[in-house]
Amino acid sequence: MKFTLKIWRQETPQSSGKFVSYPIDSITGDMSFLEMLDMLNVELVRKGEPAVEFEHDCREGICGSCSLTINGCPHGPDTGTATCQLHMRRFKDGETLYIEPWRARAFPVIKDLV
Amino acid sequence: MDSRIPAGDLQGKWTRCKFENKLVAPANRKKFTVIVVGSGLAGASAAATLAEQGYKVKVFTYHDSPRRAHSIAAQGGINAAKNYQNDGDSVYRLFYDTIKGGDFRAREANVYRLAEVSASIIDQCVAQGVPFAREYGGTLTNRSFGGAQVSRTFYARGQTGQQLLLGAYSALMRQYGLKHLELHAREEMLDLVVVDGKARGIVTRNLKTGALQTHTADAVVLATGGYGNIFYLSTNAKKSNATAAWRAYKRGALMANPCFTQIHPTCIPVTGDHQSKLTLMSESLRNDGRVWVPKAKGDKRPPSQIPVDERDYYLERMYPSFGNLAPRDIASRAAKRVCDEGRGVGSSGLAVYLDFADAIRVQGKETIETKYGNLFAMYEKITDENPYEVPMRIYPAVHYVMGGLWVDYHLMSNLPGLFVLGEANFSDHGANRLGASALMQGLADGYFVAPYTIGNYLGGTKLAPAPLSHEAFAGTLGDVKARIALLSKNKSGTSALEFHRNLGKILWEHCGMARNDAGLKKAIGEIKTLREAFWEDVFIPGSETNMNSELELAGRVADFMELAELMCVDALERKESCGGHLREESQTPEGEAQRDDSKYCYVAAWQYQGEGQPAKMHKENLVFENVKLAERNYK
Ligand SMILES: Cc1cc2nc3c(=O)[nH]c(=O)nc-3n(C[C@H](O)[C@H](O)[C@H](O)COP(=O)(O)OP(=O)(O)OC[C@H]3O[C@@H](n4cnc5c(N)ncnc54)[C@H](O)[C@@H]3O)c2cc1C
Ligand code: FES
Repeated sequence: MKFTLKIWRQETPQSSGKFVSYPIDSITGDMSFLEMLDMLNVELVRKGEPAVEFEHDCREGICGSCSLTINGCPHGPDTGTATCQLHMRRFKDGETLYIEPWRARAFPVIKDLV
Repeated sequence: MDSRIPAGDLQGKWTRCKFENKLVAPANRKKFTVIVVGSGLAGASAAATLAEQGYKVKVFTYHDSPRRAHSIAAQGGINAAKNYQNDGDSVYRLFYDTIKGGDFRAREANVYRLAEVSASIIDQCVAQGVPFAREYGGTLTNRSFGGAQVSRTFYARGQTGQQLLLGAYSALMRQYGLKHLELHAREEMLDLVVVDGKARGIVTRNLKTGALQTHTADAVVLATGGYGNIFYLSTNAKKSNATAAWRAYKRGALMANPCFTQIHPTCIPVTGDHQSKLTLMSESLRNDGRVWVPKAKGDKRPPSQIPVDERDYYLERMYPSFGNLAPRDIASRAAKRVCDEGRGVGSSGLAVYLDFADAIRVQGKETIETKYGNLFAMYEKITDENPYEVPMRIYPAVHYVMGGLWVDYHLMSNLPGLFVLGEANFSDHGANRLGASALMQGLADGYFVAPYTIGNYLGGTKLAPAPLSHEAFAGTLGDVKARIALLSKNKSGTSALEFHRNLGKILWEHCGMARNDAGLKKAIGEIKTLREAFWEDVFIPGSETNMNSELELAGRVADFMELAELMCVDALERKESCGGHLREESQTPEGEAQRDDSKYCYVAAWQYQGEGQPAKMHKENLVFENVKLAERNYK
């Protein structure tokens, strides 16, 4: 599968951020959403560009670290599912995905998606 | 190396030890500062208890909140010798099961104490409000875990770790609220400061700002978890790492039995190269799920079309008295064996079935849902298959490390003032840990052991002041800076993630479920080559003075690269098989682990000898005065 990712990039809490567009290819339905971001980051590093910062740890939906607002919905389209438990098979080939941090005054953005 | 095991009969050791301990009077405790690194079950319980006792406590965690620690992911339950089921359990039986489960490679005295304090853990947690599962009448209920013929596992659905951690976290935050304790979240310990041969502080990096800081204390507690994530693919949280332990090792702390790794039999199988972690399906599922593969090789029919008499319920067949609840090392090896024979299922052939059809028929879907609902849902999300209708497919995966920093009976390292708790130490599980015993050990260490033994150390040791102005702090800080500069020197290259993945492949192949002389030697060579490539080519974009997870990862992977070699060296040196460590050269005719007590009845404790030098092994001989060394039989 192929996707166009529009990812919120913001260097520091003080700086203003913006969406940057990244095309991504060779995604399989079995991949989790965060594994897709891993893959993007590996490619970005190879090209010498800064990796996208995102929070995660357990990757099994229990620690509450992962976040992301995906196409306007916190943790993506499924209810009761953390982003780390969301798989790419939930999306249509060719879709554009907007990925941004969760915006709340109590949790200011630290960097990118964190 | 003195294990400081109290003399006298097994049953009285801990009581005598506590009586003989030096005390610090309540009014004097605030004069002592204790650093606790880690806020999982072991760290949070220790920090809360020490603060409650009146010591000044500083807690560090790289998580944004203490309650994200990897302990939160523990699913199945926690053991305790309460004998609520009246099925013959006792402190002695829990002790014996644990010693035998560990294939006679743990200290009797430590394990007995663990069993002894286990019952208090449950009381402590109930008092905190941990919602353990109960019988209809209100009493706490139990289920069975592998390697035991009694039911002694307390649980809160498939989320026991989460509930226990919330209990410990509440206790911790209460002390924080009372200003008895400082909490440093998103701060990673990058080195240990040793002053006059004693652990006196740490160097940390603030993960939000990149700021490096030194901290001084009278004692340092590492409760930093296990390093199973070294394999890249494991059931551990992605950030679990060895850095704290490895830095302590490089400052002189001994590393014990580093090759003892637990491979858990029931995990969701690998689907492809993209995969970042493997998800555990709790051992508790084996209370009701039956493990099988087709009798015939290469049988590709869907499971529902394979008649019962053409199925091999191999655990029930080979280990009739424990059946599906055979211990983890044994169940994992059996799964590997049937898959190696060509009888594995699924597209890769690297999986076996865990089938709930019989349990659902007998107990009804609703009962199974109450017991395991969250696990079934998790399975379905990941695999897109409904386990109420088709059997789960499972395969072994790296889960836990029994190896860790060497500690004596007081849970203190050979470096005075350094205490190591929870999965980070090597103490209680020998060569194989029984299910539901890690939570027990972490909480035993933190609530019931370290608060006594740290008090004894502080009360009985002459400690000169160690101000931050002492040269050891500046020196260690300088080392940390130099290391970050070295990691950041390349101007282009490859992400640390790729090196980590490749390291994992080498370890899994040669230092995983089966090990042999040639494979281990090959792995050592491959690790060295990969390590050189890592330093040549690892690239960290972004800045050191800002949040930078590529930098965090690279630092952890750099330490994994060194630890991986020591794991292989340790595995190579231990030519016997025991527990999870299977040397192919040392097997019984049935393919079980063949111990060699005459040569290997010891703990291998490795000492760092300097960059590029081979580590030196010290042996702590294990003496069994109460149990007889026997072949571990689960048939
Ligand atoms: C999926 C899964 C399920 C499990 N289920 C069970 C079960 O049912 N029963 C059972 O008994 N066991 C179970 N286990 C094992 C058990 O969960 C762990 O062994 C145990 O929780 C470890 O606790 P800990 O306190 O030692 O470390 P952890 O919980 O791993 O905590 C480590 C802490 O150290 C901090 N830390 C680490 N390094 C640094 C550093 N350098 N600087 C600052 N902070 C640092 C982390 O932030 C964290 O707070 C399970 C394990 C897994 C992976
Ligand atoms: S990474 Fe832990 S809940 Fe998603």
